[in-house]
Amino acid sequence: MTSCSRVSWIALLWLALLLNACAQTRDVVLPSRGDLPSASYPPRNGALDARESQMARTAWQYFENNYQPATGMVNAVDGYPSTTMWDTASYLGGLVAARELGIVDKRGFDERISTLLKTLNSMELFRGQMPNKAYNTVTAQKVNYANQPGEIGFSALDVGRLLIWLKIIEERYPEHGNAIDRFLLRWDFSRAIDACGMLYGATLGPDKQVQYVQEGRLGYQDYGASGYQLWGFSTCMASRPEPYALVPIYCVDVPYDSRDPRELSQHNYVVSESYVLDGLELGWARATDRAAGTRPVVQRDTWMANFARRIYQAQENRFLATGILTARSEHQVDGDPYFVYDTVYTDGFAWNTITEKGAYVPQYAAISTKAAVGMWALWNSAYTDRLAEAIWGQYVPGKGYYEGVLENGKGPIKVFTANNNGIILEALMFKVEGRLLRFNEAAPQMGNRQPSLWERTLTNPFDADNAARNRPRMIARGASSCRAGTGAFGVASCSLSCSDCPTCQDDAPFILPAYSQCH
Amino acid sequence: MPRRRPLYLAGLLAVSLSVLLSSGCGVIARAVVNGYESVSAGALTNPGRIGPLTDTEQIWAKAAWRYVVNNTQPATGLVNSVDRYPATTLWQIGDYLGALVAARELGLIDRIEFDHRLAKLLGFVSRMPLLDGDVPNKVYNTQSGVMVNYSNQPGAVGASAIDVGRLLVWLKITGQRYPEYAEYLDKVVLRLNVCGLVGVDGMLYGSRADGGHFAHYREGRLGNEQYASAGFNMWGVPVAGAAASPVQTVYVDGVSVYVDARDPRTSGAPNPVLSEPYLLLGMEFGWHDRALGNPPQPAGVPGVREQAQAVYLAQAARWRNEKVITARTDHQLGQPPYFLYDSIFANGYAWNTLGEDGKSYPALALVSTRAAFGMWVLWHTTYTSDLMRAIEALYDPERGWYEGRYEASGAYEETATLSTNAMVLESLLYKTHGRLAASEQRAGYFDARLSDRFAPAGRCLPANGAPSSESPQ
Repeated sequence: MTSCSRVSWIALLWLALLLNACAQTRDVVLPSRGDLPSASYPPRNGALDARESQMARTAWQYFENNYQPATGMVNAVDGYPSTTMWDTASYLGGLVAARELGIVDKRGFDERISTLLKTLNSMELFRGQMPNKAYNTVTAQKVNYANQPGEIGFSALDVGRLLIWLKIIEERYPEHGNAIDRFLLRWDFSRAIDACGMLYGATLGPDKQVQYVQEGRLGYQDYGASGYQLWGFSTCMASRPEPYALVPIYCVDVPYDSRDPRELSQHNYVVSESYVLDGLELGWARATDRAAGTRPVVQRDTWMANFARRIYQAQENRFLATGILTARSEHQVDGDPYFVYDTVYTDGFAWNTITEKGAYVPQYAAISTKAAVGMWALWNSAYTDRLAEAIWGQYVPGKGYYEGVLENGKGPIKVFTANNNGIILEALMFKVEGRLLRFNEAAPQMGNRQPSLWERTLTNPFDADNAARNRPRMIARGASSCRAGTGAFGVASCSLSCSDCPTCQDDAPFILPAYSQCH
Repeated sequence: MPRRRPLYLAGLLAVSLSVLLSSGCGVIARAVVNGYESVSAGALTNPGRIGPLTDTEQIWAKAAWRYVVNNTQPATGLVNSVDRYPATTLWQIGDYLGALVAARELGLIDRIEFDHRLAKLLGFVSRMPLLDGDVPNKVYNTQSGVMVNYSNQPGAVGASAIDVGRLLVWLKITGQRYPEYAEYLDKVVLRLNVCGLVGVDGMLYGSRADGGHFAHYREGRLGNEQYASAGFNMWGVPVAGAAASPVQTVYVDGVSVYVDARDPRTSGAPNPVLSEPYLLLGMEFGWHDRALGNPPQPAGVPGVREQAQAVYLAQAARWRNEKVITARTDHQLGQPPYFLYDSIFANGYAWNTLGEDGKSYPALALVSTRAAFGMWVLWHTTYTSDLMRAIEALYDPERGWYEGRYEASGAYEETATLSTNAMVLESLLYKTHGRLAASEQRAGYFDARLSDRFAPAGRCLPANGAPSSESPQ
């Protein structure tokens, strides 16, 4: 970093003189010269080779082992009968990939999906609102963190990821659409999203009082909000990159959420996973971009693509500068503290590895397997070849892939999870098919598409639950009571233009910051 | 008695560029109006507000000196570090020397009082008890002169190379400006065994009492480390110091600011970016790497001038962007936790107000009087004019200048300290005389003593009195 400043200082001086000789001194942000190297790395595309097929089968083995036939759920961690909606979405990702890659046949796929949707349509929700944060995978009961019957709130981000995968499945396999819509129609969104499109989670205070708190930071928040958008919600506040700030890391200005983790209870971690998932599943496109959603390619000009490129480049540059292979994400560890945020940046420091409580635990820094495979799929480069070599062999036959490989040379993290193995399968499917969410344009109905049960319900003006449960406001195409743009799903979504939010504009321009001040 | 430096064309160009950059055209216009007086005070070669004191500024100087008068202890000749609190550190003895020189040159005291005070202080420093290895303790009681701990109870807590560095700077500057005392000032340095504070690696080491012995540790972070290193370098003790410190860049309000890259999570030592060391480096050394004894910077490493400029620009940018009047440095306060690193950036966060316990105290951030004075005199801009208007009333003519004004409320922090009042005097001295340290050195007792090969003065001191040269044997 230090080697970069002299030139910019000289330039700064001259710019200051030229622009502003008589005014106060001020800083001048220099325009970036050119793009990051990673801008020229294309995604990987093509059939799987023998080794990649083997990887897919190994990762799928996790889901065979941890499948609970009574509920259709899968354990989030090997052998421990508990799961979350995030991990359930990762399972759905793994299942769809296994189907598309020919590991699971149609009958096996339908049986698994149907059993799971039956459970989702009958399990209890948190306070009758949204899915609880955790469920017992054997009994489908709401549980607390100790997997004892109880309830602990709901997570906006877990729900957001689940919404993305339910949409992917509904578009790819419309035969399961009804059951999916029935599940969502059970939900009450009134505490989960507000008029400005901010996402909220629920937590239980010490006195068992429910608190609804804004949830999500840059990266995960925008990814989770995409799930809501796909079902017609306006998520203006959650989908904007602001508030963000930049930190220079190995000559890349890396964006992070500037809400202060010292004052607020959430860390502002920057990790690969949120950007990798957004790339694999949504191609870094805006969720409402229906044209992008019909093509297999990834977007390059959205802010999400731009930020993802920076997060990738900072990690490659760290390897070039230090020799440490880097693919950072949150991950499990073997034993206490069980879970760490292993980051590119968080809470003030680059390459910070912290526990949920914020303790610094650098000994758990690792090459995260899911991050490495995701980066391998999205950026075809010599660096990701090297990353892949580091993790191809990190599995146990018949069990699945390890969570990661410790940076300190002390070997693999011998933990197997649904999230890790599910994302590995997603990445392999991405190599074959490109962007995972593909809007179904096949049905020759109105607007090229048959409206779903969800959309029919939302546009039914006599359904009192639409308002009571804070479902997206939609009207049938052609009605004129609301100045709506063309909706994405064959109906007009008017939640944007009719929203009561004065403080956020979905289409306000966002000026991309320079990649770095040191070239 | 300021010395004129020859004006080299390149130097003139660089300086006037920096004047233009840091001050805008306003200073040029004013310099023309003030004409001869400013030029004679060094306006061509020194950035900032250069010129004779106005009547108001004379009152400011008197108030600051009043602190010193109130807090001088007749028994030792020392000055309390905090109003009516009888303890001091070596850093603050350096502050006092600076205040004393300023008071003399600003006409607040006559030659007789200057001599009385300096003689008293020299007498103390030549007698004061030292730790093993003849290095000074961090804290002394100003009434009894004994070594004390942080509670001002008799005891030894260890040595601080950073504090001694500030004293070394002012021992040298005082000798340069008043050669008649140079011999006695030199003897202080020979007595203190400054070598005990420099490791074999040429870095500054402090020590702390740890059971029955003293544990040594690398002391100082970017800023203070450079400042203290300059003090050692002035006496020919080659300290790599900040030149060897790893630097990283962070953005603070859109300005690239340079931070010590040593990790506070693993070292336990915070890495705050504070105004004070950069202001002292500016007023005393003009941010000249050569005057600081720094080796040439490797390409791409920001020099001290660049770092100081960033510290100023970031604070001005906060005023511009967030409309918060900002002048940050470490400060005292009259309530727990009593001392804060009120920083531009520290431990991962911009505008972190960091306690020694590592916690943030954002409600206790101050507009620091001494940071404001230093910025006001070194950068002649509308921002520093606004800044001065915010703090120009923060004194009691009977007590001296207060520590600052709370960002949160505008209320005063009425604690008065030696460091703040000395900085007020030093700033006003800079205004009238420009850069305080001379770049040429005149050989004196110190050099004569060092050239005596049969009575070696100390392993780290230069062998032939040639600053920074390698010993041939």
